Amino acid sequence: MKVLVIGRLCPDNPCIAAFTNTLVVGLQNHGHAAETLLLPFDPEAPLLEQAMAARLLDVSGSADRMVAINAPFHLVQHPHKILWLVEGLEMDGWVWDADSAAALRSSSDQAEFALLEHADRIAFAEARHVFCDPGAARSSFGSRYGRNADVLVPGPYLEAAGHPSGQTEQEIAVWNEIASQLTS
Amino acid sequence: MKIAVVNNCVPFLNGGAEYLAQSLTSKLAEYGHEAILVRIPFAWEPPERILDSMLACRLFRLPKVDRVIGLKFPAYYVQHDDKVLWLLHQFRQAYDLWGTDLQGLPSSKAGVSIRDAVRAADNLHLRDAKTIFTNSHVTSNRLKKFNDIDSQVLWPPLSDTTHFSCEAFDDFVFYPSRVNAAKRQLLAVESMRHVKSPGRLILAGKGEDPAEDQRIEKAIEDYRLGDRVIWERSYISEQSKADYFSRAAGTLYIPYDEDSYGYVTLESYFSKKPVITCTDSGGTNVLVKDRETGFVAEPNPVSIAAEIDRLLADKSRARAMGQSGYDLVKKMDITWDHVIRSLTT
Repeated sequence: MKVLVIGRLCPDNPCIAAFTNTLVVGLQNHGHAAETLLLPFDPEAPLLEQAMAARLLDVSGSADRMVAINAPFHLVQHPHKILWLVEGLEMDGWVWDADSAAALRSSSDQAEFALLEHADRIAFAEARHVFCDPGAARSSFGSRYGRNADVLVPGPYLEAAGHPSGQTEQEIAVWNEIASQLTS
Repeated sequence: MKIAVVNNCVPFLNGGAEYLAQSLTSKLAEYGHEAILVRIPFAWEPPERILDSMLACRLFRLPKVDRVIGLKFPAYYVQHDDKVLWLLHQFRQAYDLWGTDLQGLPSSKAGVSIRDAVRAADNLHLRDAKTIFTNSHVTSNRLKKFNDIDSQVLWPPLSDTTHFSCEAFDDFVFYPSRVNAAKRQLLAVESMRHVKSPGRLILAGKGEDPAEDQRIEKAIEDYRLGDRVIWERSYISEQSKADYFSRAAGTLYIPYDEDSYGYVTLESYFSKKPVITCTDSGGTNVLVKDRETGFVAEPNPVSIAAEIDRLLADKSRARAMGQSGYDLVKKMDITWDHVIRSLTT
């Protein structure tokens, strides 16, 4: 199947690209056509506008399945959306982040916080499956939004381009198993 | 300088514009800039989705960069204080294609409303850009005609030309491209019915529309062209493509009304091979000069076949025309030096 992996574009943090590229290689090793789509997000710019930008995107016609890594692109529309919340990868700047949440709560416009939480609830409700890494699982994201979330531990990922030649057989096997869970 | 190249995309689909966006990003880095490529998905079905995509592009906030280079509709709506455009595509369905078979949008009140929204947004937001370059005189003329906006043509170079060569003039014409109705591979196959010389046509490219693929397959079968038309349907590498160019007698490139000259034309001339195109192929006429750098046929099978025969019958003339095409490309300064200088000053 065609699997689209969506996450944040963070030029200053190569970990995200390394993670998504390695995941794509894992999906390809598992027999799927897979592609990464990293979209812009500025935590310091107005969140509601960016949440709306994410929500307005619909990739239903392009892929059989979408795997969204963290916010705000969990809001992108797809009928078979999988959320994978990975604490190690840029969860800041969203309502999940304690500092951002505190800033929003103390701001004069608390309606923004409420609207973003509402958007979160929609994204969690429409996801076919929610996975968390152990760090995200400790934050109880699933229960906060009334969803069961299975723990899915990321395999090791390469820091640069995620080229498979740098992976050991054991690492490839780990990512194959992850691919299997995300596409089952 | 930190630069974001912003383009729209359809995941899992790659064509000339995607190749150009990737090449530009790589070249900016080669020239010492920190460059990132931002791809924003674009959906146009149902047509209301077009407005969603336009608004999304307007609402996104880019990572901190000094300059944005916008390429295609609607990605060029993204906000930034220092934005230049290298305009590859407006949404032509709202402009010159409106009222034609390729209109795409419904003619209903809703369709008219979408068309008008696209035109209004272009009129407003294209003017945010400090400078607008385009990929061809066709794009510039359309921008002037419909939006009254001036622009400069900046010809798109190839990412790498070192693997192109001219080894032979074998008895085939080569047509590499995405396979779809606008590229008219079906017309190319139908032309082979009328080709009198024993040459072959080699198509290379993946089909984008199963119905169009079937029409091409059926034409090959119905006209018993199985031994004269070869279709490389899987992905071919850049080197394989260059090898075909290197051995072909010439190139066939007959799209309908393209804005730019097309990378196929440029690749052919870097291989010193002439190009056959059509009178209605659009921007190809920048490089394909009839009887000088190739042949310009009428868009029908008999006319195209006659030019294929003419090409295959006189290889020394084909060689001379291929050399003329190469000389023309060199003279036009279609280089990354020129492009990067223009987009970063």
